[in-house]
Amino acid sequence: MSKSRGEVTEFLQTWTAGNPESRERVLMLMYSELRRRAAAHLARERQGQTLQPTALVHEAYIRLMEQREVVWQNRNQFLAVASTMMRRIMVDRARARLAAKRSGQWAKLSLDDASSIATLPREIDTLDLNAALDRLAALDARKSRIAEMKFFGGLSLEEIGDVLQVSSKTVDRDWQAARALLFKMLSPTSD
Amino acid sequence: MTPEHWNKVDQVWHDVLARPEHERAAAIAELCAGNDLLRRDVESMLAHLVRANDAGFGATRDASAVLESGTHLGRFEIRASIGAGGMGEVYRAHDSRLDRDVAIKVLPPHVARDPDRLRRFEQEAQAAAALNHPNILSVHDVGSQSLQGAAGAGATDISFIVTELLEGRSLRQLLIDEKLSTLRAIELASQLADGLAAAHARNIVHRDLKPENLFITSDGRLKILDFGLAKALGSPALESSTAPTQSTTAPHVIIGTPGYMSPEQIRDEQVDHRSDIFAFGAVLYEMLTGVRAFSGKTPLDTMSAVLRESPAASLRELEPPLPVPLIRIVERCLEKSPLERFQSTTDLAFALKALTPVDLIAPQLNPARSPRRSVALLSRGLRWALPAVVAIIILVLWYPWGVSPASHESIAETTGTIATSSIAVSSPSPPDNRGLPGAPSSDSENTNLTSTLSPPPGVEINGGTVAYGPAISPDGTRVVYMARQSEAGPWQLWLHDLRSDNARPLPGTESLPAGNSRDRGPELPFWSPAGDEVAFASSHQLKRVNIDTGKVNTICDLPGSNFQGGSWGADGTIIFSSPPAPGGLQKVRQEGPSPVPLTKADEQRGERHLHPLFLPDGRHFVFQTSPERRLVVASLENPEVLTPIGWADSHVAYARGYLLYVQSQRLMAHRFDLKTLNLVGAPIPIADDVATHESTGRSTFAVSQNGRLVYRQTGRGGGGQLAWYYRSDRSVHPIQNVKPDSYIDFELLADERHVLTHIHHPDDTGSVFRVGLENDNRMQLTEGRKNHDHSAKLSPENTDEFMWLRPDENAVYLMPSTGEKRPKVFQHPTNVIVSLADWSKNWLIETMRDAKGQTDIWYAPVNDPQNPRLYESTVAIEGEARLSPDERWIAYTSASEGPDGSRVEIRSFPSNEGKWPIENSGRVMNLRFSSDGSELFFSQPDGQGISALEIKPTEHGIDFGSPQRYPIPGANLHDGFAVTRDGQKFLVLLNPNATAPKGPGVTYRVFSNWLGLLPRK
Repeated sequence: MSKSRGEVTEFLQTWTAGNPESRERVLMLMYSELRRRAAAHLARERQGQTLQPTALVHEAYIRLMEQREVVWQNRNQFLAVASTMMRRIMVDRARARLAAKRSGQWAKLSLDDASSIATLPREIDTLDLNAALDRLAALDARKSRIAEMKFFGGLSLEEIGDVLQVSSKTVDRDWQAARALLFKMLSPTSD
Repeated sequence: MTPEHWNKVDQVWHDVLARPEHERAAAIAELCAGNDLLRRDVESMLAHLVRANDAGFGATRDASAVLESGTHLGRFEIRASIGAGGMGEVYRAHDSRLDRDVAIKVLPPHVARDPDRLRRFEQEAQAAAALNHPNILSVHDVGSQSLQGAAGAGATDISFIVTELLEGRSLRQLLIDEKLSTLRAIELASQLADGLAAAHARNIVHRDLKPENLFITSDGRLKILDFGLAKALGSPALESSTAPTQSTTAPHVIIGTPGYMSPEQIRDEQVDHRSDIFAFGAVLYEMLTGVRAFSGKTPLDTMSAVLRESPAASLRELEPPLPVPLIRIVERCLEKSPLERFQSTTDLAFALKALTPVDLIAPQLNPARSPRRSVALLSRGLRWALPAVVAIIILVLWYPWGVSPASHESIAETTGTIATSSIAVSSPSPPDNRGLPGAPSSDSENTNLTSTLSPPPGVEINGGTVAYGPAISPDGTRVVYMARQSEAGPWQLWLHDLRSDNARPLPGTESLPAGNSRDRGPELPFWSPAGDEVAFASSHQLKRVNIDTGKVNTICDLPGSNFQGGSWGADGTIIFSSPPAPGGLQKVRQEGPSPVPLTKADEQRGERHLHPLFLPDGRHFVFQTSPERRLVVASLENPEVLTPIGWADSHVAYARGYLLYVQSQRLMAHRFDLKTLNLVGAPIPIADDVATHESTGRSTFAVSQNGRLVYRQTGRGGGGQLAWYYRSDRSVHPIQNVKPDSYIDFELLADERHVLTHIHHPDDTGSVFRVGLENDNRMQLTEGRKNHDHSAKLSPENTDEFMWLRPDENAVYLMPSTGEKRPKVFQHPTNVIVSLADWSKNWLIETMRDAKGQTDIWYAPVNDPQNPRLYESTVAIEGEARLSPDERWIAYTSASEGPDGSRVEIRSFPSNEGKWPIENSGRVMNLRFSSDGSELFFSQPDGQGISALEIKPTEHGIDFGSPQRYPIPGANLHDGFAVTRDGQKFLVLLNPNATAPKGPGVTYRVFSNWLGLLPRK
């Protein structure tokens, strides 16, 4: 792993330097990981989500390619950006479906299935989550960003800590706060 | 929240989270001392974190928790992630030992970490693994393993379940991708029912059935996923926000998914297989409509919908229409009370399988529709992918019906004729009978003659609400019916010879002396196979009378009090129905003396087997079940094997290759194959005016083996005529300005020039109208619908407002007569509202049937209609109960099975302190107090007269004398009457034929050869 991690970082830097070959190499190296993350990510989705992991990754790839001004530093930063891409793709898809179906029920992002407590929301609308992340960002941008990377990129606490340059313990507590606040916002009783 | 405040909250949060869990509460108290707002905010966050944990919100899936391809779990090698199933990550894996691909589901870590929950998971999974059924996902193995985590995160214990690997998509996905055809929905539902039945047979309940948990393989097979896992994996609700995760045996766990969870699951009550049946209903509803049965903005709203709404009613309004038996299935699954649902999944599966492709176009078998319309509907049926062969069969049966002018005419003839003489030949159109089985042997070989059978002058056929026959002899020459010679005479069986048109009583068949209110007369006669004897029920005994010698013998005592028909087999075995206990059929030798149980009914849920009929082999028999009205075939040899073959709203008769039965108020002839014991093709309507008792399902038709058909006509043929009856001179004055129609129930408006009534339309819908008695101005006030109710009740002031019951919603609505819609005032979640019986100044009176099938009177204050109270356990028939104008008394018809039989009773209200029965009042359908409360009016049991009872309140109760009787010959008071404010005039309905001179009362319609009514081949 560590070897490929290093490689990714290296290629990312040469990609930024304008080497198209590096871009391909990065993507080849990252593809399986992105795909795995996408699969993990999609595992949280059920109804309405017709996006296949490969399609999601492919779309993220295309958008990443368009990120001209990003200075790629390392693999984790790449993943963090990919998280934002994923979020946008998901939200765009959800909105498109919403427009098509005139109904929000097709764009659900489901919570972990073990959840069965009746008073709690069981399915979170992608768009609702998106809105909640925006609300959280207004209060505490870092927590919102962490949540974005967790929800849409599947980054680990260590990876996020690396991106944000804070300790993973801090990331953890921020993440717990973000979960509590988001969950509150998404609960039916929330104002 | 200000940034400053948030910073404080955040700071405390970080400090608190740094502490171990058990110290956090104290830490909050310490850090927030003196700042309640801060403390509340932090506590709220912590509480939401606990809930988020519990819901698994975001926390659990690091990418590193996802298993890498190549990971080994025992003998299974992970190949790829294939997404998520119901309960965790799912991978494609390879089983190296058996060299096959499998699916492996890895449980969420919070489950794997909890030993208690894990243990339950393993138990449940092992139980599920024992289920071996094509419609249940096969569980191969359950295991757990310690995995070395990535990045030195330490060992992780994971638990997993190994199942067969499926290709396809979830039902949820299928529903998103496609609109299912009705056939496909039924087909998938049958598979689901089969799978469920197999699990339920082993006492395994799913608890979380929903489209997400159902998988449709690429080859179209339905598989139920995650059996028992909902229970094993459900997370506990936490008592307090800071409590650590409790053991999963905590009782406060609600498991399931809002929208599919049964009401009892939501209420956290005892859950059994019937909860799965509810979820099944919700899934079937969704497959049929593409829309969720219950939904709401929030899970709470959804659950509230589950408790309150009855979505199945809306199925009746779909276009193209769904088959009624299918709608009934959904309705029964979605009953709020588990007792009202199908009691076993096997029953449910049977019911689904009894739906034939014919049922799928049955709603379109409506002669009122033009042939062109029918063809269009049929072609739509074809587009539903009806199997081609079936479609062709239907087309063959359908085509002549739709276009043959001859058959159309003969049907029109049968419904429109009113005969005034004893025998009137009205339709000599010669139908072609070639190709029909069995050559007719009677005098009417090739013609169908329509005639009317009337009793001799002065003799009255029993026209009570229960249809008492007639019975026709196997050779079609003689008819037996219940009649009496005068109002004072006893009810007896009469033998009417059709050849000579002579009738004579059969002495010894009377059960009780004349005038006794308990005299139900000799009920439901049926012939011996040789045609020389007639069996009948009388005074709780089954008897037989020889029509030549007149000798009467008792066969046996009847075990139950409510005889529901019998059949006499060629070998001398008699089978009969005598509920309520036992609910199943009985059999007895024709010599008696002791009946023995034959079929077994599920008495716990009130099932009864009614109206048995031997098939020609004398070994097999057909009967109707209650309350489903399923037609079932069984045999004397194997009475425990019950094979449902279809549905019928009445008893059945067999003749010449056809079963005849009433469905949707039409008499149907349905081809029946005696070899396979199955109905073939589509039922063919042959008459739509056959009087049938709605609740017992006993109809008045009878057929002989040679094609003769006899039945009592309903009043619907030409429609009844409204008339005023003047008490002063006892005269009847037909209201000529108002055209005859099928009116039911009357409420006079305050001006007494308008009446609120219910009109039943020829297309079998009905609605409430306001009809002007002077000019016949009609205003339709409710939309026409099937399964309508007619108990609209005017406001106490008789102003424009009225309330009415919608049985399809089990709800009472309030509406002004101007037609503007108003909201519903009352809906009951569990009881079936039988009728809105009265609306007085302060009270609403309803009759409702509870889960046990008992009908009681309930009352509620007008200003709090949602909370009705039980008014004792009185048993009311036909939902009739009225309050006196001063609201001190209630009058109703009791229907107790006791020695007193049915009668009118008055009680004090609402205190319920005394009871004043009105002796000999009999089975009364309609009751009215006079506007000053001094008189009680009620219809006479034969529907042809009104009794007026003067009542005087006394110190201790009420006093009354004998009722004054006002016979109104030719009237049909079963359908209601109204009384003017001064109590001197009755608004009544005259039978269609009552306007003929000296109306003969009940008569029968006779067809010499009903086969002539069938379409030509």
